[in-house]
Amino acid sequence: MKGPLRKTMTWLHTWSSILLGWLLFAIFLTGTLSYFRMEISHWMTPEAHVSVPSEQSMSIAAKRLAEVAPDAESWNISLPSERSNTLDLSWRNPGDNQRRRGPMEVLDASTGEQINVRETRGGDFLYRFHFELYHLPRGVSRTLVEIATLAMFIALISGIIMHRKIFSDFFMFRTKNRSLGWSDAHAVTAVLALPFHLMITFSGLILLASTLVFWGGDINRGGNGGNQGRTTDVVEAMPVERLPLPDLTRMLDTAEHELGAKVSFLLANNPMTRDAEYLFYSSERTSLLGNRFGQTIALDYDGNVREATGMFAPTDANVSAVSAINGVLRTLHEARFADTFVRWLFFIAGVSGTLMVGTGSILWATKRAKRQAGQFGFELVHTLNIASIAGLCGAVASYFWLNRVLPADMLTRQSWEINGFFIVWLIALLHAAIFRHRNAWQWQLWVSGGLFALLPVLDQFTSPVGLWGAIVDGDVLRLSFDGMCLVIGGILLSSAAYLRKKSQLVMAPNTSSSKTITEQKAITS
Amino acid sequence: MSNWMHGRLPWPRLLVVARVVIALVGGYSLAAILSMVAAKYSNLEVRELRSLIYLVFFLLYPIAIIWLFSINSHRKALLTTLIANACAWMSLYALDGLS
Repeated sequence: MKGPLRKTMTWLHTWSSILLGWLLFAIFLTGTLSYFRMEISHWMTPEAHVSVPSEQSMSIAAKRLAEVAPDAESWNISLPSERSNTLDLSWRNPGDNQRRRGPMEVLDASTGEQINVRETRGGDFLYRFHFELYHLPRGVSRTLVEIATLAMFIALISGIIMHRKIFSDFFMFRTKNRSLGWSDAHAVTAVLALPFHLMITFSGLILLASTLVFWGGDINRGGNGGNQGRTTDVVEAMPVERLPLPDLTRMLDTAEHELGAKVSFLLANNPMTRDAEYLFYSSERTSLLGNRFGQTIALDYDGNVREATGMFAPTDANVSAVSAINGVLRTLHEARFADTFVRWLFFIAGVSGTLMVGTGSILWATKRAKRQAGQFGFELVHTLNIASIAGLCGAVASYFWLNRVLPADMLTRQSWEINGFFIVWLIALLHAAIFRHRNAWQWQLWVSGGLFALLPVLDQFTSPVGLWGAIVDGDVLRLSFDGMCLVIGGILLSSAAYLRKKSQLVMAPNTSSSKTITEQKAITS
Repeated sequence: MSNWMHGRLPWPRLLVVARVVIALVGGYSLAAILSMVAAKYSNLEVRELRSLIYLVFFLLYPIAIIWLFSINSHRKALLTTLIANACAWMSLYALDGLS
């Protein structure tokens, strides 16, 4: 019964992946880019490029907050770290709405000057698009993404079953005597990072699980008081005794010494009072479990270590296997633990996943090009492939270009960056529909690849700090972004070159045969 | 022996649709019930049950879909999903009875 199973799996693999292939490509591409979410946001606010991390950051922050928000209920200080080079302050005044973000400022981390960054969604737009698309009701878009993820998971499993010899095929790597085609590219990108693909798809399924598993709520009824039960108690603003500002730099040293790690974030509750609680969060995580930050330590108004209370209390060390698995899946999916090197590894694995989805969709079309050309289904997929693969890459590149090209103080520039993204994507779709048999693939790949590859050049000329300055300052965030653009641009341009070579090969026999005919004619005459 | 997708049956397209429905709906309910069984069987804290349900459901659902697709005859596939669902329901009720 080996034959039928293989056939069935091939059918399942084909159809589960092609139906939502265009959406899967978009999810994979924006998700892969989201590994560089902070890098993208940093790149898209060139005003902040002048900021260089320094030792004085904490004292600058303390001075500034004591000046602008001495009566605040809480202060947030985000110190420059591996993933941000500015000093970000925000605070909450008494009586502010708990749900909304309070006032905030971005400061130069070494001079303390306030930086007016341009209005942009930065990497958050791509990150949100990855699982909520854009402008759709949240429930609908998340369910759609979840269904696409499920289709992807089934495509992965059926793909493994249908190629039982997948590993031996891969290691044979039959490059001799034949040119590598889309099918090889599909298999290589799939196998190279197969564990990553399985992990990322399954953890994605679990992250959005509530959209498909909406039942079973009665099982945990009654136990769920923790979240909803939190009363937003409106405390009357009572006059409190204000103490002088403690030496936060010394406290930072204490905290870093106690934690044995760098601190990246400080939350001060009731700062400059006797009830003050200064919570220091380390940026390095020591475990794959748990929440956004690594370890936490709390100091009181006098700089003595104390136990954190309430929601900041240290979580139980003995977690159950189920929560452990969930925590690890989430942490892995979002690569929260990653340093620059591991982040790049995840990015490359993500790129290979994106290529796998893209080449798979192309493979569907090339296999059917001869038999089904002219049929509606084929033409639709063919058009969607061009627009959703080459066109989307062009749209993302235009989003980055618009960020630097639109005037920094333009009104509603944030929405025009995003509008531009969708306009370019729409143009790509129209172009693909009209020119789909006239090299639309090649054109869009050349343009998208060119836009990506030229982004570092744009960066050089539109940022207050040149690229050489970025290298000198060790601005890893920005260099990572430019490197990422070169990688993506290179892939797109080489695909375009491959297509050109292929189309020339198709043309070549005709020209050579006509040549021989003319030669023969010349000889005979 | 021809495969079910390429069989010369009166309405092959309709049968493919039927198989998709069997796999998606039958697989869904099977995975759902079995994850409820797992939740009932476990002695986890209440707030962790949901995570357990998610994990079990999303492991079982793709397996169930692939399994129901891989069966060669339609009748067998329909019977399999019905029987499997019935067994799963019964085990759920049996566990309910115990507790």
